[in-house]
Amino acid sequence: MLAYIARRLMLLPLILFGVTILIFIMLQFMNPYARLKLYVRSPAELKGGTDQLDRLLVKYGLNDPFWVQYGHWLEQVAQGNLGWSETAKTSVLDAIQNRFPATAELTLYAIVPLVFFAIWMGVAAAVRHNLWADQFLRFITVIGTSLPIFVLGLFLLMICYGLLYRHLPSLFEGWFAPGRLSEWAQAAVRDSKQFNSITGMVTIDAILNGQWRIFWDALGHLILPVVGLSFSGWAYLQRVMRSSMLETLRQDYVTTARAKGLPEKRVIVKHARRNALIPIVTLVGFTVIGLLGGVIITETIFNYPGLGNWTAAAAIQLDIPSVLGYVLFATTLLILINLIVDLLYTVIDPRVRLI
Amino acid sequence: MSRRSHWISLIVLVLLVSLALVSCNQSQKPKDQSQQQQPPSASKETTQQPPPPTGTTDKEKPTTPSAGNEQPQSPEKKQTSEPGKTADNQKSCEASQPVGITPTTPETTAVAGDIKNPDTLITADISDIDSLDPAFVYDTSSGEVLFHTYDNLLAYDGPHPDKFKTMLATTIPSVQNGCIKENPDGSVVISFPIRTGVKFHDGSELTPEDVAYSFQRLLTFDRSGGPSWLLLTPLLGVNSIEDLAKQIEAKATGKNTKDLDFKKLGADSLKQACERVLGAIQVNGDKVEFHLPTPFPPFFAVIAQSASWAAVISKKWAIAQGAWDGNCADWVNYHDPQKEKDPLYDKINGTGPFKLDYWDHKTGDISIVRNDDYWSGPAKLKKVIIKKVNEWSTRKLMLENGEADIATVDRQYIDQVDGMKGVRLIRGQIRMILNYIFMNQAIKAEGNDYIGSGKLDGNGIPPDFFKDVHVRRGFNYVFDWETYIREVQKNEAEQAKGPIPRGVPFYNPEQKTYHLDLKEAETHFKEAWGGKLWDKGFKLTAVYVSGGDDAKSALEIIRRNLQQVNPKFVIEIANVEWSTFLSKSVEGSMPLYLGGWQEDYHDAHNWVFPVMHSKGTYSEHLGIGTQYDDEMASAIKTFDDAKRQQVYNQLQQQAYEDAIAIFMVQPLGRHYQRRWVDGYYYNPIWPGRNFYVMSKKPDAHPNQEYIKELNLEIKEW
Repeated sequence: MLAYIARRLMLLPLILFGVTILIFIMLQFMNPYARLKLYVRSPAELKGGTDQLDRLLVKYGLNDPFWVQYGHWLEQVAQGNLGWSETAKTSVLDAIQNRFPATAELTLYAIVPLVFFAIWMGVAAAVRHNLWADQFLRFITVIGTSLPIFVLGLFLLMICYGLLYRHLPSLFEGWFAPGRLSEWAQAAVRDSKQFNSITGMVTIDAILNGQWRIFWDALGHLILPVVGLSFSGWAYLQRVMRSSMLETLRQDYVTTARAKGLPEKRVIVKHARRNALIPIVTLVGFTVIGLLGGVIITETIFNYPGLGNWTAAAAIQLDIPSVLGYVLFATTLLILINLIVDLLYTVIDPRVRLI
Repeated sequence: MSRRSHWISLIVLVLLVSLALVSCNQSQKPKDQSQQQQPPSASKETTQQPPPPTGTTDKEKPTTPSAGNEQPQSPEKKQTSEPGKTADNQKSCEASQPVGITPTTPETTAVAGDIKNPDTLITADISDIDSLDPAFVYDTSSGEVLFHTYDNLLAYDGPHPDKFKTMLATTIPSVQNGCIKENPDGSVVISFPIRTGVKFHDGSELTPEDVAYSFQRLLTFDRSGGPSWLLLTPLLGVNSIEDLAKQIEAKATGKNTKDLDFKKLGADSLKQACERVLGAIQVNGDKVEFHLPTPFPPFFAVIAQSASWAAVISKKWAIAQGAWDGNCADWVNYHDPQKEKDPLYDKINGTGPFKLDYWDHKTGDISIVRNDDYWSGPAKLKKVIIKKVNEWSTRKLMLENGEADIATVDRQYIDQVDGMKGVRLIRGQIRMILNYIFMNQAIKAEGNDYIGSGKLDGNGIPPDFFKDVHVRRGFNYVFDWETYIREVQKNEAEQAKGPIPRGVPFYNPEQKTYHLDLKEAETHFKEAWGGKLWDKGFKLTAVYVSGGDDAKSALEIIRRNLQQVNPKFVIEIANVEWSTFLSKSVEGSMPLYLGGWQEDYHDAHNWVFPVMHSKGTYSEHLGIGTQYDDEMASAIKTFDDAKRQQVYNQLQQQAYEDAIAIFMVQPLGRHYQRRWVDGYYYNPIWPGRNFYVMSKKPDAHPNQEYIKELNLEIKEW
């Protein structure tokens, strides 16, 4: 297994090289002036004369051949510098380091209910195949899969922040508000004498610092994005779990187990559910990758400062250092999580061997 | 069973939808039109675009000149409503004891039961702070932060963009008080006596050396695409210090400046360029002198408060941070740095009424806190937080819940805010912005899809299609301002009368303008190209930047009316990304496209130059040529206002007769705030809002005197 892991990890630099060089090649199809969009956002910024554009081209080396540009970037990366993110107004590395904990925290809180409810309800629906519970869950999952997250997010925001928070402020003080923390909590977190940031995940750091008010405040801010994300991700996963479970329940070994007189609960939990989990593990892997990579719409609606917001803005503004930095990060994440998923197969199904 | 489950699900869904709809209605329905104040002769309705709310209405006559030796003759002694700020103008060019330094005790804000965060003002904006270095900043969002944290030599008096009062200088220079001296060779020296007793945020005291260093650093810093040209032009006659160094090298070597590479210039040339900068701004005792080679009437407007580039920083502090030390031997090392290498990029140490609290790069939020030692008296608010909230629904709910005191409201959403309980609208603010449709008289033909066949054969246009004045006039006559303002701008704009907008000195209110007249258009099109155009017709592609629905509608109006005039006149409309637009505009390949301008300083020169000068930002790529250059040069090199008025009237008339562009509209602005925000008023030249004059209290109201003076309309719910 170690050899397998080593082989997979050795592929990583090669893949990263391929992906980044592909981006640089694609950039060559773009007029260098067009790439100045990042530094010149409107004609108003050219008031000093359009020869300023030529100065900018020289300054950022946008007129250089692509291998020169790529070489500069590679040299920079080799020194541990991913460049400057014009979108985040900080270095790319800092941008990732600043935002990833927020995204990871959101993922952590979203993935637990998402997976738990998906498996639980998927199994419940399969076991009660075509009964009312199955029909009801089908209806809810259809809503979950067809309701775009921006609709659901706004819906939640209007009900919880727009209605509950406004009309029952004493009850919901600090809850459902956009952002990651209330003003007072942000001030406290920023004060290094009061609060020691260890993981960057506010709820966990609050526990570690024994700051329970901050913990509850952060949790209150997490509720809506977590509900929104979980609901839309849950629905799809539940449908897959149900199908997989239904298929498993029809297998001969399940019939054999029943014929042997095993209790139904044991047949489902021990024999059927475990085998039905394999496609779910793959999907959960992809879901985690998707969540950790940043969820643009959810973060935008709830003004949550995660990776998604930043990456989308960077791509729109042609912030190439940011895009490249993010690609490096996301590709590494993708490969590592895929590796973990592969390893998990062996845990779930002992027949699987990694060679 | 399954039917029952469907019913249960349906009921749950209906309940959820009802809840959401109730929420929506509560925010949209005007509940209480408790107060409506509409001053007489209110101007047309207004609009607010994403940029900061700005605008005033304006008198019906040309405003007074902004600077020059006439300016100080109207010494603005008027005590404004700003606490502790006085408009003092000395009789002589001598430094005075600090006037208006009596710090007022911060007014205790009444803590009403339902005022959220009574000492802190929170805004929900879509602003994106670019940098905090005054020499780097050239955008309004960053400018707004610097506006509150740094001071300038002069400030604007209240809401008037053409009246000055002293700030870090103790006197408004004039010939009469001896602070402006005209030399026999035509050069001018302007002296500013510097206020004493003013402290930077770090506690150090302001000196004239700090003032001189701030300007010298700006000129040598000269970042590409930055604001340094605004002072390089009047002080050294160049747009860039690189050009100055090249000129010096060219003179020494006999080479052509175009053949010189700045990075390869000799050390002597570089040093001389720097010495020219030091020579242009000098300390003389307690004064700082600016040496101008020729008169430059808008000089005060270029350096007055709101001009973030002219903010005064602490020399000692800046050097300690790693900025240029003022030595001419190594200025190049600090010239045009990339943002990440600028040591003052995220730091502030000014003399302004607020200090930097934090700039959160994760959220984009920035917070400033009151400077209790402010020389002109501390602000009423303890803290201001400018929050970056990109999503409109979130901004709206924050305003509605009182979590935000001020919010940016795009025009398409104003219906959702009008009538919102607890909110006040102030509208009618004239904005110093003009929108144009440009007609390129020298289109680059090579590989250009926008001009079809490239010939006047009915399937395209020749590159010099718009060279014929009748074509340009014809296009002006087919534009329907009335419909555009009513339907597209929702009556929140007014027709531009030419290149100079209303409210700017030397604007001519009597200037003739075009209007929709298809008969006139037909007449001109028949005369164009010797009658060939009418017979053959034409086909071209007009371009606007993606997302600009207003721009698209404007082009649709032209397309529809041209078709009515002659069905052979075909316009296709294309939208392009800003990046493409940028490269195409530099190429000069777009025949017909939209553009806009927002002023840097309040003077006619800043308006005519970009669209009429051969080196103007737009006109350079429109093939307009040098025909207006001399007139512009004569107007900018004299303090004689009568002469300037005459020249600018002439230029406005020429812009009309030559139909150099379709001068579309000057938008009006709106500002939404919670009703507990007090003291608001507005000056169109400010980069944003003025938090120094604001506070939060139960019986709050905007600055009544100024609101009335500006004919702004207030609505409260």
